[in-house]
Amino acid sequence: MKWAEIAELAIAAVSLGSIYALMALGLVLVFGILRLINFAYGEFIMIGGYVMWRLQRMSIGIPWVLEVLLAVVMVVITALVLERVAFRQVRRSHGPPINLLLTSFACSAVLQSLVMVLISPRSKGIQYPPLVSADLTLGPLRIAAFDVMAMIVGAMALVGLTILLRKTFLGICLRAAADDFTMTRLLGVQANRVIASAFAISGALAGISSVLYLARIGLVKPDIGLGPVIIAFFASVVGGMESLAGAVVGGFLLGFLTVGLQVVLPASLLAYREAFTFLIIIVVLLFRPQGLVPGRHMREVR
Amino acid sequence: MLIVPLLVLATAIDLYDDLMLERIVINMFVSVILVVGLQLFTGNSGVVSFGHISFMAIGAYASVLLIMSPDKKAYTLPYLTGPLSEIALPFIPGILLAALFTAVLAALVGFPLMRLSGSAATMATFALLIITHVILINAETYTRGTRTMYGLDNYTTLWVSVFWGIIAIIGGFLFKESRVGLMLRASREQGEAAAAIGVNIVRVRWVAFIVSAFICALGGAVWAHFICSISPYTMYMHTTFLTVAMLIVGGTGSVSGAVVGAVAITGLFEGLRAMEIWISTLRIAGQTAAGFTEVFLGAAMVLLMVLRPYGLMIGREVRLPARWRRKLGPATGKSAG
Repeated sequence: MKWAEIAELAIAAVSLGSIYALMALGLVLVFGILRLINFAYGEFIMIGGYVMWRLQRMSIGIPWVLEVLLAVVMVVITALVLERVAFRQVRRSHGPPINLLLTSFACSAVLQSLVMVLISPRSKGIQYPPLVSADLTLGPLRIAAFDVMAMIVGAMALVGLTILLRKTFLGICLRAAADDFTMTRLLGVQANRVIASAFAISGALAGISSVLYLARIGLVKPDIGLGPVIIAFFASVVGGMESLAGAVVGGFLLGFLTVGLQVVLPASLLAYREAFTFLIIIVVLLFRPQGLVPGRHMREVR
Repeated sequence: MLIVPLLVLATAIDLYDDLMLERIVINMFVSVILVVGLQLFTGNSGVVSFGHISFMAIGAYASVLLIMSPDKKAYTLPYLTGPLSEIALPFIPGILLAALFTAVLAALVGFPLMRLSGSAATMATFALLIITHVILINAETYTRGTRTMYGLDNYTTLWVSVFWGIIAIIGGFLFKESRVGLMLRASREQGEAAAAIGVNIVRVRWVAFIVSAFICALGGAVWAHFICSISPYTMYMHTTFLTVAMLIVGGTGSVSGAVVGAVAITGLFEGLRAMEIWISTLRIAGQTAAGFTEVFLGAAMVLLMVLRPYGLMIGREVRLPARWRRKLGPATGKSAG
């Protein structure tokens, strides 16, 4: 294999990894505070896609950047509405933690069938501007433009999130709540507000990753969220559910695994690629049940 | 006990003789088998499993391979060779052997997995579901891959499903009250304390995993010979979510909870669907209500969790009245779920 090919694969892996990392971050943010694995996260990604599709169909020439922005905003609103209507109510009833998980199933099912009923069960195409869907030629390298976009946007979102979490008051509240929610509440931080903002940020990350992820596929359908949400789960679990750095590590690991197995596996086993990916994940979990980057506060999560 | 109303329901359906209703009730009893199987592991150990539907799928496919007659196999599975292509067991040994095979697989897989707990264990079982799905889709020689497996004989009548449902319920009770079940429930409540008095948590979890895989595989085999055409897609995410939902809605803590959850969600689903059809026939403003079943089902689940956070049964069992129980002697112990 020539070095150019290796470089191309590495770029593909990094760009895929940065999308996965963003998705995993959105999940971990909510998990850290609520102990909730949010299954409805995939539907956030789906909604982002449908907003873009809807705006394009109106064909009133909305600039693409505005389209993306509106998609992200709509996803954030969806996340906030779900938190208010479903998760907060279930949380208030003080059931076992598994109830929140089932709530997220229910939300996921409701959103999916709503889209199926109100729009269509068939897939809809999304157009991306030529700047994004083009191929760049860089010397001997041929790079898809959306790979570059994914890397740049991913890096920007990561930096933005880091600044938000490290420098702002809200960020400090979020991190404190993730470490020890009871103590944070005793210190006078309002639980509802922290949780709602965690959902909002999670929704924003889902919206951004939705734009990046769907650029690879170019269409959106009601069950499009399943693939990404599974990847985000495993990225966050492998990386460590307790730490945000872990989510990033897990995301990149999964990106490299996906691209790497595609190359390494012989053609006869290629159909089993997913099975191999998840097998490796189980093995990692067996040796590091807390994930690759364990949190500072080790807790048994039930 | 809870079996009595189920028997009454089955008899009533048998007498009423409505094909549609009968199919719904058979489906319900298959759900009962699956949810009780899942409860046996999740309820007693406290580890949520997303992987048990993979045992259902393996059980279903294994039973088909064991039971289907050779000349039918030559048609549906042309590449199958060796003893599997010639074997044709009767129904009951067939599904028992299929379930046993699944249990052995579960024992092998569960051995490393049971060392995990919490969300890592949940995710590992979820990974198991995906791996099984990918393998079933690609093992075309045995499963026809993505294409539907058809040509199964319909062995599962109403009373067959009732029989296995009740076997599963009794199995769930017996396991819960057994020594291993008690140790497992102790480890769920207080892992460290249970370990301190000598409970080998990994071992008791492993046993529960195997037994519950056996029951779920039975459920899959019974279901396959009712629906008569199976594909990997019908035993994947959706079934998993529905089964887990039934368990949580009923309450994870008790076998009765599992049964009540299965009955409640089936009833809710079918009720909503009947309503959907009825509204669609009315054609209010030319609109059909198709597809809203899932929406209302989801909303109803959330509502149920808000109102009954510990499930419909709150971890309690439906038991014989205390007066009768005392006559039976100390065999039926007390349990707080």
